Amino acid sequence: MNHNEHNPNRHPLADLYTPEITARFERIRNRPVAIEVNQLRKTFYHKKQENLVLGGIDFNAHQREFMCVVGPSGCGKSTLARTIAGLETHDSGDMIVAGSHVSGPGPDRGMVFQKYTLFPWMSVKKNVMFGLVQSGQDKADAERDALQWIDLVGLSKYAESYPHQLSGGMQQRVAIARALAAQPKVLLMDEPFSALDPQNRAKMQQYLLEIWQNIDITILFITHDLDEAVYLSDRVLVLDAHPGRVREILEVPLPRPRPIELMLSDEFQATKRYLESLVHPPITHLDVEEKLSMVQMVPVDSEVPNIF
Amino acid sequence: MSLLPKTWFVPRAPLDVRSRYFLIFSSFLLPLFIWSLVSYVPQLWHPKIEITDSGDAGYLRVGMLVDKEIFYREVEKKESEGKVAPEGFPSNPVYLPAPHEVATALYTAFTTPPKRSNEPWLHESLLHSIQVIAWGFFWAVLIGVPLGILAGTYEAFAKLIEPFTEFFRYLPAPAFGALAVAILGIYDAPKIAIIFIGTVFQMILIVANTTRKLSPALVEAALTLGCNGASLLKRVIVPGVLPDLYRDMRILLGWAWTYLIVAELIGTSSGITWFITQQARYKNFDNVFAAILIIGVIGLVTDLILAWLGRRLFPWNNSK
Repeated sequence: MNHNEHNPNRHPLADLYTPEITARFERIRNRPVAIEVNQLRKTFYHKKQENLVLGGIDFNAHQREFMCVVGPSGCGKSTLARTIAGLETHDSGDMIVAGSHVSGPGPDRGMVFQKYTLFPWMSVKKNVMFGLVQSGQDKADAERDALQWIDLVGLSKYAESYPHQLSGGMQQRVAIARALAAQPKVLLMDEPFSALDPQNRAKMQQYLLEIWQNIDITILFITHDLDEAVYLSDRVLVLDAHPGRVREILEVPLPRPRPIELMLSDEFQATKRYLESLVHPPITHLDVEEKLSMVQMVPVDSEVPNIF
Repeated sequence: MSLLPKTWFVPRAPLDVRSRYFLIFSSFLLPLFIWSLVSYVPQLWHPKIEITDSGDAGYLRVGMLVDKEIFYREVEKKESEGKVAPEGFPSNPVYLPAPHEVATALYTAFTTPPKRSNEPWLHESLLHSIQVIAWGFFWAVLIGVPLGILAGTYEAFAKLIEPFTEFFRYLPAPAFGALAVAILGIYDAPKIAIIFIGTVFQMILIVANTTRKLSPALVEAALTLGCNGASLLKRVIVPGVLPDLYRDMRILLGWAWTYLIVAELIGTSSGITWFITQQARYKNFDNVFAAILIIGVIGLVTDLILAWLGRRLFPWNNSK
């Protein structure tokens, strides 16, 4: 990014980059690369119609970085996460996660989904043990590790409960613990909090930041909530739609750690406004199709003739 | 509508406890009530006359059932000739015994020894039927469930297994009776085979569909945790579909009972079907009804027990 004052193409947020923030991004850039995505292309076929969802995506995420992916609907942000997870095939390009090429799903890339995906027939503890047992760890070790992870997400009391006995937020916390227990290099999160109410969501965001700070994990977080993206990210990957391409990779000009009050600051709001302008270009006029053909349907002699 | 509780007519609303038990009892009492009406109120139907005194009409015997029309013609004829008219009372045909007769038969069928010493008692017949069903169903589960789960999990297996299964399930199982006897002899084996054929093809398709209904998100979550192949089947797919599979088996067990009657007519007639045909031949329709009722009771009780067991086995599924 060019921070030169005399450059007419100067970045709109350039003023917000304090020396500390710039220095931090410098340090992040010098870390090893955890996710490397090169020219990733992916087409969906539906009824003989081709739909290019990912039209050549390039980006890197560094070790222990928190990166959010935002973009208008249809930009393929979920598809990107699923492709990196190995749950979707791709046409061309390649992805390297922690030094190895991605071909199919594997335990080195944990994933937390939007839907609740805890195994309903297993207790919380058994759910968290799932990946550990799968990797061949013996039962007693796996159980001890699982209980530590459950403690980390603050659900020790519920270790023996079944998922249906937990609230949505608690289920997602267990899902995070389950993914992290398998010791992945990166954690892919596909709109994990979008089903939660705003209060729970804010709480979960703080939980997540706290967990992320304390363990060696790189997070790629898909969201459509720009507040969430600004609050959580080191950098935000902004995608364009049809086809999905990288619009910009924005270094969020906010210091860390980030108290919740930071969301009210001018820097935060400016960053969010800027993202808004990238993701949702200003609406000048409604499309003809989008315009409702409404006429006044309230009788003139109605007791409340208008809403004003 | 004020006569009946309002909640009865709110779509999908839960009933209060009293209404619930009231309706459950009515569900059985209503048919019984209609049956009793038809049996005990002569004005309703009773198309026959049971003769109590044949009078001068020589061909009428005491206890014989004749059509009303014929009886009254005979009465008129005898009266006009000045002879003694036959007497009798309105009655239903022999194939519709009254509830109390069936109830008595239900009891006596178990206490009456068989007519010939080499014939089985009713409970022996029943036990034999249950054995045939159990074996037929056992083999169907052994083959049908694994194939269904494979077809529901892997598209390749689905394409290999399902088209032929779809074709075969339209072939009526009883049509294989003669073939089954030729291959397997005349005793239990062909009967078990008919129940197997009647059940297994439906089972494969139903299990495959149930397996497909398992949330793909659970499978994906397992994949990202390093679980795949046989391990995925064992740790995620099978336990994930188990409660629904159990429910499918309960429904299919009902199907197996419907094939039983046909199956038992193949080769040497046996089991409850033998009992029913034998009793029908003697015109003991009260016994026929009793036997049919017993099948219903066995089916219902088995299902209730299995449902109860299911809630115990899959406590995590109760929230659904």
